[in-house]
Amino acid sequence: MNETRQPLARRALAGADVAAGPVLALAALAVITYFLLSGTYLSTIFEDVLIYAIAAMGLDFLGGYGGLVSLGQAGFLGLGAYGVGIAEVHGFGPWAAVGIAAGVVLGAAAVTAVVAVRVSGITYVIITLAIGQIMWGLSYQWTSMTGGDNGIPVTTAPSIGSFSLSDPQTVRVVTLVVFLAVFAVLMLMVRSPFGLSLRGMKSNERRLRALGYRTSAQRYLGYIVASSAAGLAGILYVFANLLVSPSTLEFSQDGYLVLMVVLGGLGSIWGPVLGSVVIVLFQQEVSIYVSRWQTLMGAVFIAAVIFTPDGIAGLLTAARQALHRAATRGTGAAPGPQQPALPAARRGEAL
Amino acid sequence: MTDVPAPALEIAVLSRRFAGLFAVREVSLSVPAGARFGIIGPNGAGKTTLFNVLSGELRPTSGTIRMHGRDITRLSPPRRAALGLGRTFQITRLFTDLTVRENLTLAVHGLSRSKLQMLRPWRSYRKEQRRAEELAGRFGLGNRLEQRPRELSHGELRELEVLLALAADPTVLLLDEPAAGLSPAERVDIQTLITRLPASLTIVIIEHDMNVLREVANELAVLHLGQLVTQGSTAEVQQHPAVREIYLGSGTGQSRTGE
Repeated sequence: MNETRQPLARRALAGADVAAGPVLALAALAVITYFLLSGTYLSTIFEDVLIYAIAAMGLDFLGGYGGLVSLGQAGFLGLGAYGVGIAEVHGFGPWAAVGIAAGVVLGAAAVTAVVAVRVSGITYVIITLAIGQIMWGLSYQWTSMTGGDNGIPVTTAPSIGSFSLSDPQTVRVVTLVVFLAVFAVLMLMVRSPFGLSLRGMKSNERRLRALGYRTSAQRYLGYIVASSAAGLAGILYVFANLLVSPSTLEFSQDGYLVLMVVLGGLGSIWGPVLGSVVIVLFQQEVSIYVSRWQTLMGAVFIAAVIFTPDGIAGLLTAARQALHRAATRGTGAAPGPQQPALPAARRGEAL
Repeated sequence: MTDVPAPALEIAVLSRRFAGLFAVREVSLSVPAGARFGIIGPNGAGKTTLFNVLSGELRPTSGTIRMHGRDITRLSPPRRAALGLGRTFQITRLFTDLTVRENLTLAVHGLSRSKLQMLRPWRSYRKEQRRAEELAGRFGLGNRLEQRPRELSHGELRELEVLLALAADPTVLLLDEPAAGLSPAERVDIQTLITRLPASLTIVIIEHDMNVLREVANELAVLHLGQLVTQGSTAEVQQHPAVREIYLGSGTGQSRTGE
């Protein structure tokens, strides 16, 4: 071994070890922001990416950490969007419509949670599916309220002085800000005592109850947080698309949100953002060139589940840990940042 | 009413039936505050079912349970925990996806309002983290804090199981075979921990190993086929003819008496 080169190489590795996570995160953010604000057709695509990412991160909060995966998340996205549309049709101003939509989402979450928190596992999936489908059925059949199949066009957007959500570029900036805020809040929440209790609930609910946790309270609050993220995404959705219709909350949308979370990596919050990039690009880009894009997406999904069960986040975390091991080899430092003697990636703790 | 303090646990004609079978049948017991109360009996005697009914995981078919004089028969497990009831599980029930530190942190926050706090990292709760570290230190798990249960030895898992139950400072502690499957040295560790617990803490312990019970229990109850056979001091119970028959007559029971 070359004795002068080795410390230098090691120092470079150590630097890479420290910087890899933040640098990658900032690079991803820069790329998304660049496309979002580029003013090309990619702007609308990345707008969709961020809107669905907000709903997917909410899904991951309760699904990845609490083990309660919802198949009704798109219902709350639709509820936020319809809330704005219906309020405007009834003569409310745009700001009031946003407030009403937020209130309706919270109210609906608080009520449906009473049913949803009583069950877990596959029963929870089915119950949330039913809740989502009831919302879809209402949007489709309550024509006097929702416009039925035609949906509701939203014509006026909130504004303060020259700042107006009727300007598409302003909507994109606001979407980016809301996305970053939701991301930051959820990252904080999963590290809080409450977030830890969600992980405990997923790991061993009986034991958690014996320690004094009323787990129905944990589920209830987690459900409200997850549904609120979807409702927020729905409010942004309606100002980005200027239209809400039953297709916004149909079953396939619930499916896509779950795909984003699973493909991105359950239990990481940031993984579903990458999942959203992949799925939205498939829907809007690959579909131009490949008419059977859904078949292709299915194949990619199956391959992902087989080869990287922890999703994109799992792959990146494993790479991150390999880098850390290489950087600390022979220095007597701890063998891994989060999970020493284990080769498999603990999802979503590094980076 | 008298001015004698209420027993820590008072069980009155408690039964639990599964289909046609009585797992626990008309058991009445009184455990005074501060007692070290052992429950013995062959496999299938209903000991763990009794614990599950006491901790609220199972509803009794009939009968009542009082803790410090308060009727807790219909309360949920978390409500009982909030009133000071802690328990361990015979088959260790840890949070296997969480580190030792995270396991203990969950237990430490269990009875505080902070468990619903969403916007502050749990690692920033210094008092709770010191408590978790202090608990881990009691068993030499202090250097295992960042590891997960699957990296621990069987003995360490048992110890962590007991620490989780102790974290919330219970007034009544139910220990379900804390020494099962442990090496002799690990048994001594568990025994030492139990004997050093504050005298005010009431302990009910299910255990097969008479050597352990002789060290930690001053009163014993014997269950057989769901029914209470006898109750008394450790020495009395060991001499009881029915007990000798159940244990010595059951073949495998002989080694369990530790004679």
